[in-house]
This record gives sequence, structure tokens and C-alpha cells, in this order.
Amino acid sequence: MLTRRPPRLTAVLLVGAVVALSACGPAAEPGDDGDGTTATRAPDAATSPGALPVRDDLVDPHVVAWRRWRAVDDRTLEFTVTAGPADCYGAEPQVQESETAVRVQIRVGRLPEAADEECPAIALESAVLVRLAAPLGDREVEQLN
Amino acid sequence: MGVPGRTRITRGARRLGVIALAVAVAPVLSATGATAGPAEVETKPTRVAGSDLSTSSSLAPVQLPGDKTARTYSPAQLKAFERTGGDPDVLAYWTPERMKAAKPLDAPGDAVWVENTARAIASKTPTVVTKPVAATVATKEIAAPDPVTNFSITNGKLFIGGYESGSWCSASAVATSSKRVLITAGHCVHSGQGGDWLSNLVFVPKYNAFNADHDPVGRFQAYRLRTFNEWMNNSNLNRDVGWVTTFSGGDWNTTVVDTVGGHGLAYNGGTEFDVSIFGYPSNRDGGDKMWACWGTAVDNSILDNRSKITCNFGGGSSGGPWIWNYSNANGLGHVRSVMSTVDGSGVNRGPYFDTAVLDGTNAANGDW
Repeated sequence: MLTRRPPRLTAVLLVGAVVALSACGPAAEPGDDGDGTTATRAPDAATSPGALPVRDDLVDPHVVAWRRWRAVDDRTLEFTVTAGPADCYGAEPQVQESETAVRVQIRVGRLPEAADEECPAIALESAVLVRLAAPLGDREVEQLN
Repeated sequence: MGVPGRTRITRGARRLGVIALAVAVAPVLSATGATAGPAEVETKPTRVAGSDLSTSSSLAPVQLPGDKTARTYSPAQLKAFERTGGDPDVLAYWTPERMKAAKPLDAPGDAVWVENTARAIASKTPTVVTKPVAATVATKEIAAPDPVTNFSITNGKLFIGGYESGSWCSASAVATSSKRVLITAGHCVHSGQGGDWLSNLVFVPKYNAFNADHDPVGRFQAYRLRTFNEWMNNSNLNRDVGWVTTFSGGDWNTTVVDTVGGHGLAYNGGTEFDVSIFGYPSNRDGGDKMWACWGTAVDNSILDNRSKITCNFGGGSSGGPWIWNYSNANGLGHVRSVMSTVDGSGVNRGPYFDTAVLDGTNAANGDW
């Protein structure tokens, strides 16, 4: 069971800010998260997945490792995770910022209003938008485990 | 964990007592060994599943990053793809370096739960399930299905958006004369009412990301997609069935059925039957390898035309075959439903297979 790591030097922010999916934001250079996985630039807007609602009241949320990220603007990152239809599932990102790194963990769970609903059992690449406390700058983006 | 469906069993038994149900098995023309029983029919489905029983098909859209619109191919290109296994750009886009950032979820407890739950359900129902199969099959069908020991290569992962993308369903090959048809869920080929056909579908039999070779017999790119108009226009879950016609492909550059065999199709049976279910649920090993669940599917509701079973198979399991009469010996059986939905209690549901599903399969066979 993955447990939430207690905050150390930096504040843990539960980010609730969602911005509209932007097709025109500058894409960041691919980053390596230092975990052996490579974050690559997201596909162009034509194939960009829809954004999951960001909520803190999800039912049975569980950690899903994000596959890649891109910068929508200097303080907004878009992470790609595998989830389900956006009317059934939401995301709860956890962000840990330091001077050198931005660590992000994303939990995916059912929306409370969809907890008792049937959802198509398809796995869908979905976007989760995360607002940073400070501009990304040169900081590395890493999985927060 | 309760045993769901007990009340339904009673209700189903009552209905079965009134209606003589027989399972019809689709004629199959494959040389790969899928068994075809006698077609003993003909009881009409007892409930209407939507007024439009017809299906529609489309050339499988291909659109890669950088493409402004979906790609179109000339007849000469399509002819070449038959030899090369499809548009090489689609098959090559997701290189090993681009894949599998997703880590397995911690689900060992769930695994035991699935198995035990499925067995518990199965043990409650033997006297019921004999009825729909009695017309065509021997008495061994009275027992619950054997535990799955052969994770059949006839089943696989259906990537949406290119090989090893983060969107996927499950699918299986069915034995038709074209040897190119997969059966899956309707929402795995078309997003339903107000939506569109899905792009860049690639089928990988027995995909396993835990092995060095993720695609043991290679990949098959979609050529045409097909689903019920009721799914396309109304997102009617009673008609959540889809078909994919594939290019030649795989490691031997031939048809999918010549590569991995094809299941038969069972239709016009009851909604309650012993079933072995295969798929790639994201809540089991992150969807990186095939999982199975077996037990007895029961009638979902008098108000619709579906079956249900508690497998707790989450996103990615959609389209996986619900196989009746599965044989561990040869890894084949008869597809009698496909995975459609999951609810918050772990109950999975699938659409009833009637003559319209057979018609759709035959139409997909004609798509090549």
C-alpha cells in the first residue's frame, strides 16, 4: 500500500486549480523523472485526452503513476494518466515542490456522484492539470512515491 | 463480501421455467479448431434491446501526432498494408522507450477476492445454468467452469491510440471465414451517442508487459470497425458490442485467426451461464498482463437484456470475451457476451448475444 509521505522541507499542496485544456501552451522539453521512466511530450492537441475533474472527495482513490507531462504555462503542468471516462472518475494530485524538483503523485478514484453508477470499463489516457505554487523554471518533474 | 445475484437467480429460474431456452452456436469456418456445435435454436430473445438491430462500419481511423486530420489510404496502400500488417507509422509510434511508465497496482488481496467470489457465486447456481445449455451440450455443463489455467492467446489487449498507449480495451479473435474479425465492446470502437470512431487500434494477442517480449506473436492493426447503430446513436448498453476487422500482421504476417485461432460464438441462449472472462483490467497488474475471472453470470434485470457477474474488473477489461464452454486444453470456447461496464461494487455487466450479434459478426466478416 502506498502511503502519503509526510511533508518535509516543502509544503504539500493539494491542488484544486483546474484550468481549461490549452492547445497553445508551450510544451516543455521532455524530462526524466529519475525513476527509470521517461516523460515525453504529450501528443498534439488533436489527440490530447480530456481532462479529469480534480477533486478531494473521490471514492476509493488509488495511486496511478503518470506516464508523461508537459507544461501548459509556467505554473500549470498537464500530466497524463490512465483512468476511465471523465464523467465517472476524477483525480487528486499531490504536489511537493522544492528548489530543485517538483514531485507529483496522482490518485484516481470514482466521483462520489458516480460511485453507484455503471461506467464503461475502458482504460483511457486522461489529462490531469496541476497548478504549481511557483513557476516551474529549471526544476525537474518527478514521480512522488 | 456478499454473494450478489441470489434473488436474480430465483427470478431467472422462474423465467427459465417458462421459456425453453437453447443456445445456438455460430457456424464457424476456421481450420483452427474452434468447436462448432449444432445450431439448435430458435427461441427469440424475450426482451427488446433496442429497435435498430443493424450495425454500421467505418474504415478504422488513423491519426498520429502531427497529423492534421485522419489519414486516408489509397487502394494500393491498403493492398500493401495487407502484406506489411498495416500502416507502419501506427505500429511503430509507441516504441519500447515510450511505453509502460504505469506501475502495477497493489492488488494481491483483490486477486484472492476475485477468485473466491467467483467460485462462491458459481456454487450457488448449478441447477439453473443447466437449462440454457441442455439443448445442445452434455451434462458436464452442470458444473461450474473449471478454473482458468490456460490464458488463451486467442484473447488480447486492444490498444486505442497506438501500440502501448495508455488507452486500451480487451478483445478476442472469432472464427469467421475472413479469419480477421475480433469481437469487443461497442465503446471500444466508437464512443457512442454524439461521439465518433476511435483511432489507431492495434490488437496484441496475449500481451504481457512483464515479459521481455511484450507481444508474443506480434500485432494486428485495425482495418475496419463496426458496431450497432443502437450503440452509436443511443449509447444503448444492451448493444455494446463492437467488431474489428484486422489487416494481416503478427510475427508470421498472416491473419489473426491463422495466428492465434478463433473462438466460436454462442447466441440466443439464456442470460445466465457459466463463464470464463478474460481481459486487461487496469486494477489488476496495471493492465499489463491478461487476467481471468470465472463463475456463473446471472441475469442483470428484467428491465434490460444483459448478464452480470462480480469480477471487479476495472477500466481496460472492456471488450474482453465472456466465454461459455471454455476449454483449458485448447484455449477456445464460445463468446456469449463481452465485458461492457463496471460499477462501484465491482459488478461487471455484458450485453445479451442474440441473432443480431450473429448478423453483426457476419457483416464484420464481410468487411474484408
